[in-house]
Parts: sequence; C-alpha cells; structure tokens
Amino acid sequence: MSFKRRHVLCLIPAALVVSLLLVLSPYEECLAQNSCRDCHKELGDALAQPVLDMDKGDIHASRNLSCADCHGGDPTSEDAEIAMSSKKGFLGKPTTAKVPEFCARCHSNPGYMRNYSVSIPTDQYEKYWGSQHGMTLKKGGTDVATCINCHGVHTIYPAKNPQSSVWPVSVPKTCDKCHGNEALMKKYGRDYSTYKDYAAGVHGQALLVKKDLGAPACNDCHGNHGAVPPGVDIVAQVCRECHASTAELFLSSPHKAAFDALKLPECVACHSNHRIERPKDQFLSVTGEGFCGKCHSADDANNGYKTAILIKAAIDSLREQQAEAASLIDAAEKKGVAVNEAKFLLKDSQDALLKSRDAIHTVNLEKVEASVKAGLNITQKVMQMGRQALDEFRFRTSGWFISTILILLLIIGIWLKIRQMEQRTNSKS
Amino acid sequence: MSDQKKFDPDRRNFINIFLGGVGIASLGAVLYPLISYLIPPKVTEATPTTLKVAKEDDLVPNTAVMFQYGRNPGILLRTADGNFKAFLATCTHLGCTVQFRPDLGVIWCACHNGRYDINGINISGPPPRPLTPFQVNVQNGDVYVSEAKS
Amino acid sequence: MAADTKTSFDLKKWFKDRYDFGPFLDLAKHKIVPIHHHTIWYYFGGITLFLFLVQVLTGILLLLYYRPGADSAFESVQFIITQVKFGWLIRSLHSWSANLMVLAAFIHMFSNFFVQSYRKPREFTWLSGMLLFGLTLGFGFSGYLLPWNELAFFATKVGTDIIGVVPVVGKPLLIFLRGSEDVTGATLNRFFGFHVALLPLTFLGFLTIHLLFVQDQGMAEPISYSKLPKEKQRSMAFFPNFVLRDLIGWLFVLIILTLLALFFPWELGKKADLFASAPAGIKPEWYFMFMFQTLKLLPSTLFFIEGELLGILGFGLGALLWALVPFFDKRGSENRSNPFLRIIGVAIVLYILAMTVAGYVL
Ligand code: HEM
Ligand code: FES
Repeated sequence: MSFKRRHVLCLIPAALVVSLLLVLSPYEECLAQNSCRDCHKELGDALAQPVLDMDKGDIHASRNLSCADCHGGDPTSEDAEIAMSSKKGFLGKPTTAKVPEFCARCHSNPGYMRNYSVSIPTDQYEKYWGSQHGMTLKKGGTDVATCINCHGVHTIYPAKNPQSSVWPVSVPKTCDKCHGNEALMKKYGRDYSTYKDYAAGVHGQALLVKKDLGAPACNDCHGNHGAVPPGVDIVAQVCRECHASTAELFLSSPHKAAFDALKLPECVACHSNHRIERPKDQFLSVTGEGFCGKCHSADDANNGYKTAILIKAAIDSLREQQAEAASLIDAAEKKGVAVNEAKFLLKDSQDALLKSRDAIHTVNLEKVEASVKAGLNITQKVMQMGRQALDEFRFRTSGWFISTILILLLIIGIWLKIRQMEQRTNSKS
Repeated sequence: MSDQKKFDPDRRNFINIFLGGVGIASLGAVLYPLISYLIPPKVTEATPTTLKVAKEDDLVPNTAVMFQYGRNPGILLRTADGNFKAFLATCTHLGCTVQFRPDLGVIWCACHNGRYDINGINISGPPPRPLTPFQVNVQNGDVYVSEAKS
Repeated sequence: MAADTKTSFDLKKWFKDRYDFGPFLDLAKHKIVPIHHHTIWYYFGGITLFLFLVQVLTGILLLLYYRPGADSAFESVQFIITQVKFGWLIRSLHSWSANLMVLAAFIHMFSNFFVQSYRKPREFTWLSGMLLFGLTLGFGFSGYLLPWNELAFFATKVGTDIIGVVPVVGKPLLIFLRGSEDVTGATLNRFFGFHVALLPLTFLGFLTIHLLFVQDQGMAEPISYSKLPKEKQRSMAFFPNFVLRDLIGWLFVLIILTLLALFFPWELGKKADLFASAPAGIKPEWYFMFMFQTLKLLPSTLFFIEGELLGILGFGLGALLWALVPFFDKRGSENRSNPFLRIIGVAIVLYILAMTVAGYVL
C-alpha cells in the first residue's frame, strides 16, 4: 500500500537515503498528512461539516493552521483512539465557557500573532471580560456571545472581508441573531427590537441602504470586544466621534449641566438612540412633536421657552428665504437663463443653513442669529442674482416683442408692396 | 379705396419709405444679437484649466483660502513649511465642503469629523477616499491651480 | 419696371454698363409659378432653404466658440449659453432650426410626391432632393452628438449600434462612423468633421444642382392644372411676385423660430459619462422615431431572419424604391395621376405618424 509506505518514510528521520527519497517523494503531502480531515470527511454529516467549512476560505486554514493547531491531538495517527487521546493533547470541542480562552491561546499572544500580522490587536480577550457578554459568562450565563457567535467557527473571515459576519454592513444582523431573540432578551430584561429601530434610523439607512461604510454599525458606539452600552453621561463623547462640531457646541452649552442634573442622556435625550429620525426644524418647536416644549414651558424661570421660539423663528426664516431663492433660480433656469453662478452660491447658503442648524445646540440665541445672518446674507445675494436672471429674461422677451413687431410691420409692408404691384399689372393688362 | 388712389404716387412713395424704414429697423434687430455674439466675452475660454487663486504673500504658512474652480469649491493651503497644496474641497464622504484646521494641522470636514492630512489623504472618520488634488504653480508671486495630470 | 425711381434706375444702369448679369436675371424672371389649390406647397422648398441658411449662419457662429473633444465639447456649449452674449439664442436657434428644417423637408418631399412633380422631366430634381433629404438627416444625427451630453451620447450609441446589425458592411461601417469600437471622444471628433465640413460641402453641391434644375425647369404643375385650358391657367411671375411672398413666409418662420428659441430653450442636460449606465427613456430625435419604434416592435426573429436586420433592410429597400419612384410611375410619366401610388403615399404618412406617436406614448 503506497499509503503505508509514505507514512513510514515520513516517520524515519535523518538517513541520507531517506532525505533523498524525501526530495523525490511528495514531501508536501507527507506534511499535510491529516487524519482528522480524512476521517471526518469520511464520517460525513455533522462530523464532516467542520472540514467542509474550513475549505470555504477560512482565515485559519488559509494560514495553514490545521485542526490540531486548535483542537490538539495527533493528526499523523491513523487510529482515532490515538489521534484523539488526551495524552496527545486532544482538547475536543470547548464548552461555551471555555471558548474565549480557547481562542486566546493564540490571539492574546502578541509574540505569536506577530508571525501573521504586526498590526493585529491582541487585547480582545482582556476586553471581552470587561464587556457585558464576558461579565455574564463569568457569572455562569452560557447563553451569551463568545468569540464564535460573532465571528463564526470554522469559516472565519477577517473583518475587512465583505463576506465576514463582522463586516460593517453585516454587523447589525450579526448582533441581531441574539439581540432580536425575544425570549433570550426578555430573560435579561433587554429590548429585542433594536435592529428594527436601528435599521429605520438615519444610521441604519446610511449603512444598510446606502452602504455608507462611514456610518456607524452597533460596534461603533458600543465597542466590540468590550461591548457595553455607553453611560448616560458620555453619550456625547460617543456621538462626537463623528458629530464633532455639534458635540462641542452642546458640551459648551448650558444644556450640558442641566441635562446632567436631570440625568438626561445628552444627545439621546432629543434624538433617541437607535431609531434616530432625520432632524427637522419642527423639532425646535415648543409644541407638538417639538423637543423644546418637552422641558420648557411658558412660565419658565429662565428664558428657555422664549429662546426656543426665537431660535426656531430664526432658522425658519433662513430656510424659507432659501426656498424662495431656490425657486427664483429654478424659475430663471426653466426660462433658459443661465444661473450657474447663483446655483453655486445657493449651495453655499445651504451650507450656511446646515451650520445654523448645528448652532442651535449652543441654545444661545445670539450665536444662532449670527449664524443665520451669515446665511441670510448669502441667500440675499442668491435672490438678487435670481431677480437679475428674471430681468434678463424680461429683457429677452421685450427684445423679442420689439423685433417681432418690426418683422410683422415688414411683412405688412411687403404685402402692401405686392398688392400695389399686382394691382398695377392687373390694371395695365 | 378708389381707383385714383391706387395710382397715387404719394401712396407708393409712402410704401417704399415705410418698407425701407421697417426693413432697416428689422435688419438692426437681427444684427444686434449677432454682433453682440461676436464680441468676445470677459472670460475668453470655455474651460480655463488654469486659475489664479491667490497672491503668494497673502497666504501665511499654516493657513488656507477657498476658491471656486468651475462649479466646485477648492481649497488652497500653505503648509507650515511654506509649500502650497490645493484640493477639490468636496468631502469624499457625503460632499460637505471641507476646511483647514490650523490647530490640528489637518483638513477637516465638519459634517462627520472626517479628516485628511495636508496631502489630502483621508486619515480618520468616514471619508472613503483622499481628496482630489490640483496642481499648484507659483509664478511672479501669483499662485495658480490647474487640474492635476493623472 | 421702367417706372422705377430715379436712383435705382441709375444704379442699375451703372451696373449694367459694367457687368451683364442678364442671364441670371432671366433665369429668375422667365420662371412662372402656377396658381391653384396647392400653390401653398410651393413654399416649403423655400422654407427648407431658409432654414438651411439659418443653420449655416448660426452654425458658423457656434464654431467661433465651440470646441470639439470629449473634455471640452460640453463645456464649450455651456460656455456659449452662459458667457457669450446671445449665445443662448444662437444655440437654441441652431437646434430649433435643425428640427424645423427636417420637418419642412419632410413636408416638401411628401407634397412633391403627392402632386407627382417628380414625373418627367424632373426625375433628377427628385433624386437630388432625396440626397439633400438624406444629408439633412445626417446633419441632424451628427449634430445631435456635438454637445456631448448624456442623452445625445446614448442616442448615438443606440443609433450607430443599429447600423452594426447589417451583414458584411455593417461592422466596418460602424467602426468608420464611430472612429473606434465604441462611441468615444473619437466619435465626437469624427461627427464634428462630418457635421461642419463634409456634409455642408456635399449639401451645397447638391443644393446648387437642385436649385438650378428647379430654376431652369420652373415649377411643376399638378396634373389637373396642366389639363386646364391655357386661359384658365392662372400664374404669377417667380420674380418678384413669388419671391416676395416667399420672403413673407421666411419672416413668419423667423418669428416662429425665435419664439421657440426664447420660450422653449433647447436644453443642454448633463455631460456624457462614458461609464454611466444608460438613463431611462433613451429616445432618438423625433424624425428617427418611426424607424426606431418599428425596430423595437419587430419580433426578434421573423422568417428565420433577425427581426432588427429585416427592419433595417426593409427601410433601406423602402428608401431606394422611394428614390426611384419617378422611374416606376409609368402613369405619371404619361401625365396621368396614379391613385395606387397616392394610396401608398397616404399609407406611408399614416405609418410614420402612427409609429412616431407610438414611440412617444408606448
Ligand atoms: C454649414 C452648416 C452647419 C454648421 C457649420 C454647423 C455647426 C454646428 C456646430 C458647431 C454645432 C455644435 C454646437 C451646438 O451643439 O450647439 C452644431 C450642432 C447641431 N447642428 Fe449644426 N451646423 C450646420 C448645419 C446644420 C444643419 C443643416 C442641421 C440640421 C438639419 C444641423 C443640426 C444640428 C443639430 C441638431 C445640432 C445639435 C444642437 C444642440 O443640441 O446643441 N446643423 N452644428
Ligand atoms: S461629509 Fe465629510 S465626513 Fe461626512
């Protein structure tokens, strides 16, 4: 049996003949000798699945790690008893509680991981125990996420691979596997509709629908290995990762202290957390769906109520003026007058409106009004250009009317001439 | 109209004068736009590829100015060591206009805290790509930008 | 004429003393224009001519600022309509006049078909007219691409694709037209060359022939008119009576043209992007619509031939027969009306109308 022969060749070291034979024989195959794969494949069904999974582009397999590198045992032995004996270091399938440790043997060893990548982090294990998942696991709860629940088991892709379950666009679905499980979440007293809320909100729309990889997935706010909900007092720190200028304005505003005192969760107090609605100027209202009216009332000791009304009025005025300017430009464009310059400025004024909407987070009327004023100045210019464009159209139209009248007169003249001419010839004949 | 009137030379003269007058006026109405069209406009070229955007001395190191390039905003910045760099100022994330932050030494997008280094490379935040660079030339104290040759 | 005013008399004499342009005047003068129910159709040739002159004038003006090339064509047209004084007018006029010219040419051609004016001795006038009509369509097709906007780009792509279907000559012809495998900047430069040099030269050549023929032979009389007794045949002199009427027609067309240019400015749209996917609703210019729509409605295979190919061959054959109709119409050459051809003509008009409408509503 050739099988046996090769086997023997592999086991006998050092002899000259052998090394010569080694060069000639399929050396690679000897090294890859892997009884785990061979047997498990043959056994089929669930027992074969790990092998099949490994062959789907698993990162470990592609780095030439074999079954035994994680599970221990002796893949060179044909005998299952020997190959999977604890004497040979066989570990088998780790229990849920043991999974983090199982992975951490390599993944928290910087010296070892450096063999594969110099930039790969090795602090996940440590962080994990600080996470809600890890803390629960430590307390004996085994229905929490360990490494494999998010990353998969035998088909693991690096996070930068779009096929990965932890690729940004896939993260929400991955978390939802557990966090959307009603029974499980009820057990821990948690919300199970987070995914639905997130997907309906601005961030979910941006990431899941527009595939904007810059938009936050669950882990961008909650962390990944050290996942915890951000505390009430640090929400703004999380949001400011991206919404830097808005957060700055908020943190320097009187709202910061007031919210702290009331234990209101900063940004989330108005904007909510998962189901974040696209902001509307209506939010500034003191009535109806407006946020300001939720805390401020007409008999406020401070000026909050009044300020809210005035801030809203300022923003509204800029928005309305801008809409008017835009419709002027639009009207001129429809009439065929070129308005490129004005459109460019209009974009500036839209930027100014964005800035003013940002400025409301200072809840400082003067600052908002200053910002609005800057926007209004630009908008005025746009309107003026729009009016000029419409004037230009009027100039064109009147020019057309004048020339048309002249041409019509010319037509009449020619017609008179024809008549005169023909009457003459007629009367002659 | 009576028969005699038809032969009235006054009337014929009138028609000729009328025709002449209206004819010349109409010709004017046609020629006016045509001649205006022939006068070269202020901007003499359809696609000016090179734009003068600033004076060298007006821009101290570690500051920036905005300029308009075609229909797009541009940003010209002078680095701390005195060099000029220019980019299309449109953020590669969602298209907000970026600005230079001398305090951070980066080009910054206020919308989602996107950052680019002074070479326009996206270094943090959502922007997926570097900013589009312009070529910058300084001549006789004037700074010119033009589309970068790829 | 002797009773003209003194000054013009002197001027004439001054000229006559030096140059003898009698033959030219004779050519204009000897022609008479019959007066009958269908005199109105005589105006459409002149209107087509006027619109062509407008095209030449505005086209030359556009050339002052237009710059061919994939990265300058669109920008330069934009420049014309935004920066150049009355540039919007010139461009809009050129576009509208192009469309009206095609329309006028259609009317001119069909009216001549229906009064059988192609019949002996005007066979070659008809043939040269057919060539002029084809060149006019060529002007429209090549000019449409020149602003290098999205719609034009895709319409040209589709339009030239159709040519590629023809066996044997299709593919080489396609490459010749496009200047490359695909519609690219090379196509634009080529079309520009066709549009402002090749076509105008050819057109002017045939136009001269066409006009000389017409001027020499005079206006064709409808068959019914030619059978009237001599004293019942009313007519007017071509010069100056008809020419002045022509002039009135031209001035009306000028008014309509400027009205369209001002109140319905020709859109420029978005710049062509070679890599963008085609926007919805790519349509050819209206005058190609009936052919486009026919090809669309044909089943993919018909009598073992590719439907599209069959359609193209059909149109080719149709155009050939149409051009050769003076040589078919035996009754016409015997100065008799041909009801069969009239029915066919009506059917063709109805077909074109129906397919054009279908192209826009379906
Ligand atoms: C000597 C004669 C002509 C010259 C020099 C000329 C020149 C030009 C030029 C430079 C353009 C590009 C500018 C532009 O797109 O606005 C153009 C466009 C065009 N031309 Fe002409 N042309 C001539 C005759 C004609 C004729 C006879 C027709 C039609 C039957 C025609 C139809 C068009 C059309 C449809 C366009 C596209 C208009 C647009 O969308 O802007 N041209 N021509
Ligand atoms: S638009 Fe610039 S970071 Fe989002």
